[in-house]
Formats: sequence, C-alpha cells, structure tokens
Amino acid sequence: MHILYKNYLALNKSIIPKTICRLKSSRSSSQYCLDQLRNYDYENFVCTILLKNIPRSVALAVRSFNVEVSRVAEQVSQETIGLMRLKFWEEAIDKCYSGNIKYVPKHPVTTELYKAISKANLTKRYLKNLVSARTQYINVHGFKTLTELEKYSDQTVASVFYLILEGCGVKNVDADHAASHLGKSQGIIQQLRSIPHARKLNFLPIPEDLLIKYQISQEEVLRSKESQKLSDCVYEIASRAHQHLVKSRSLIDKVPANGRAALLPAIPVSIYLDRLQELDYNILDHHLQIRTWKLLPSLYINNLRNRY
Amino acid sequence: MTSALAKIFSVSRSGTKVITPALNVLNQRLASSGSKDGYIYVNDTDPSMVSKDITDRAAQTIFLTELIRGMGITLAHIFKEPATINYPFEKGPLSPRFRGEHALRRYPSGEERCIACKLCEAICPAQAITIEAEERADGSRRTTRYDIDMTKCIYCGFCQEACPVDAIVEGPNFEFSTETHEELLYNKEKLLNNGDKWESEIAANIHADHLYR
Repeated sequence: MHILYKNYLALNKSIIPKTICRLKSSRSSSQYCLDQLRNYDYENFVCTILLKNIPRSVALAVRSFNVEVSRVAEQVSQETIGLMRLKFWEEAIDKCYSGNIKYVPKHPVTTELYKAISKANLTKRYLKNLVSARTQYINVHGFKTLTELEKYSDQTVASVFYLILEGCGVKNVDADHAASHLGKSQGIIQQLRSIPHARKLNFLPIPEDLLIKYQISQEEVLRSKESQKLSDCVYEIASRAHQHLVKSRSLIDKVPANGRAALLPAIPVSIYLDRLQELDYNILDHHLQIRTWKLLPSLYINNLRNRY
Repeated sequence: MTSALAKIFSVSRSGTKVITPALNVLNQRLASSGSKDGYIYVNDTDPSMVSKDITDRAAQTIFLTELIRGMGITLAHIFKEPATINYPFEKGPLSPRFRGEHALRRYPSGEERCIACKLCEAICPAQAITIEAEERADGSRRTTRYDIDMTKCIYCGFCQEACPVDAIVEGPNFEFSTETHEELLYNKEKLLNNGDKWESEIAANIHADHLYR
C-alpha cells in the first residue's frame, strides 16, 4: 500500500507541476483532523464518525485536540520542551474563546476547535483539564495509587466525554455521571494497553501500590516479562475498569437518548476487557494488539439501537 | 642378509614420501658418493632428528596448510555477500529518528505549517535560528524570514521537539555538503523546498499507532 502511494506521488511529481498537484490534494482542516484521529486513536475515530452533524464536528475537534496534547509527552526528550508545547496549546484554548478568528493560531485543530466553540456551548474548564493533567504528569513517570490513575483518566478521558455531551446539547447530571465512569474505565484500559510499550514511552502504567502489593519490580514491567504476578495485578486493574463500565452502563436509562451516542466508546472498552479475560489477563499477548473484526459491526448495531 | 632386508624395507617405506622427490634425489647423490664397499645406497637417509630440523619441518607443513586454508577463505568470500555498499548509489539503513537536514513542512492543502510562534528560536541551544514574523493580509501570522545557520546547528533536534505544529523537522537527508559557507545559511525558501522534496519520507517517519497518555 505504502509503495503504491509512493509510486502515485512519483507519478504526480513527474507529470503534473507541483502547484497543481497541491491544489488537487487540497483538503480542509476537518479532513486533516480526521486523518490525525484515524492514525492515532482509531477506536475513538470510528465512534466519532458515527455521531450526527454538530456533535460530530465537536467530537472531532475535541478528540484531535486531545491527540495533540496527549502525544506531547512521548515526542519530547526534555520536560521543559514539553511544557513549552503544552503552554502553546493552553494559550490556543484562550485564543479560541476570544471570539475572533484572527487571534486563533492557524492550525487545523485550533481552527476546528474554534468552529466547535462557536457552534456549541463548550465549557472551557474541561478543555483546560486536558492540558493541565498532561502538564502535571509530564515529569512524573508513573502513578502512586490506582485512585490517582482514576483521577488522571477522569481529567484526560472523561473531560472529552463531557465536552462531546455538551456538543450533543445534553446537560444532565446522570449523563455526566455515566460519562465520568466510562472515562475512568477507558483511561484505565489506555494505561493497560501501554504496558507492552512502557519502555518506549518511559512511563510506568501500573500504579506503585499495586506493584508493591503483587511484588513486581519496575524492571519486569519495563522489560515486558510475562509472569503470573503481573497477570494477577492486571486482573485487579481490569476489574476496576470493569466495575466502572458496568456502573456507566447501568445508568443508560437515565441518560437522554440524544446523548447516548457520545458514550459509544464503551463498546471497544468492553470488547477489550472481554478479550483480556479470554487471554487469562496476559497483557503481553500479541493478540491484544490486533484489531478485532467484532468492533465495527457491534459499534454499528449498538448505534442503531441507540445503546452503548 | 638382515641389513639387505632392512634396506628393502626402507625402500618400501621411503616410497610413500612423494612430497619431496627433489630432495630424495639430492640425498641419493650424496649417499652414493660416500659408498666404498660396492653398495650404492639408493634410499634417502632417515630425516635428521635434531630438534632444530624437526621444528623446521613442522613449520613447513604448518605454513603449507595455513596457506591452503587462507586460500580457502579467500575463495569462500568470493561467493559471500560483500560487507560494503556501493555508497553513492546504495545507501545504508537510517533510523526513523535520524536527525539530518532541516525542512519546513506544509499541510496537504499546500499551506505552510509554521505559525511563527518562535518556540524553535527560543529553544535552540546554538542560536542558529532567526525568525521574523508579521501579519499577512488575511490576518494570519506568518514568518517573513526563517533562517537557519547550518554551520552553527548542532543537530540536537530540539527545534523539532519544540514545534507544536510539526512544522520544522530534521529530515533523513544527510548529503548536503557545499563548497562555500554561504550556501549553508538556509533561508525559508530553501527550507520549504526541502520539505516538499522529503515530505513522503518525513511523514512516514512521524507516523505512530496508538494513543497512550
């Protein structure tokens, strides 16, 4: 596929002058955001495109903003550089709320965010949360307790859900309650997923208190060594994620019908948890890294039935 | 009688020595010239057992086998894949994180990415980057001047890390030597051209798979 694309580029270069070539491939900022999302956050990308009009553009803007800020930590080698970038995004939020497109940095994500803010009434605090949580953890290389991990996922993942719910026009305590639990669940899953990549990310996804409880050394996690102790530890974390998921799903009847589509990412979370259970909580199994065929059909069916 | 038998025996024994026939002939001449009782000593004398001679003979055989073994290795290497590459036509492998020549990227729409936030200028430890910016007619803030002194640059990659919009990158190109110093003072046009030239490679290197933090 890659080779084909390269050939296509080479063909373009040889036949068509560069300027025309650029005009041909001209794409809007939303297309750029979609590409980013598809590359870096596939499951949420699928959930985003299943949304309707305004919620979709809000979800797209918020999620691609989240992609930008969450990748900062893994892109930089020094904390100060990461802080600089996060500061840029923090200021970009303020500029998006200034109401004048002239002050907004010319970046596809900020442009989309500006459009989203003008369409829906988004709370600034949630957007700021996305940045501040990353700022707080940029020089920390792990969580102390499972509660701390939950708090972090509440700030980084649940905030995205609150914003998308606002984009759907839902201001409901129960909806926010469900979103909070779902966010925690998804945040925990996200950390579990990063265990095989812990060395590369230079971040220890398992909280310290659980490492002590199960007598696992940090080195074992960083070196991705399979062991029964690690599986037990993963079981405890995963069951916490499962509790949150169940709690979130139990609130489905109280969530307004037009806000349920925003909570669709519960499906990939539950699919992941089921697969983890099938594999006996062996988090390092390579089967977990492969996308399942179940994801797309079950998302589509649940979207039709307006469930999550 | 016994001595004759012994001589016949030694003939059959010496028959096995085919490696040094020339020496044998020489030995025969020397031996026959010394005979006085009518016998001609046709065999070669037993090899001398002085330790110096033994060492010499051993060295001779050892070096002969060494020579053959060396030839064998040479022959084997003719059929092996060469360890070297035909450099200007063949390139060695490069890490996706390789930090080479700088480039300014564009969006797929052709719009330049740089928004003149000057973070790269601020972080540059060698102070190799100079930026001047002003507002365009459409109200967007863009650079009017973006210079990198490639002779000052230490290729630390901080500019790439600091850029919030992934505009300035250090691409995979490492062959940009020039004849004069002035040619290494890159301006915005040169950097944008680099970006256009290397875009597909740069984009492939930046791609990752999942969101973790």
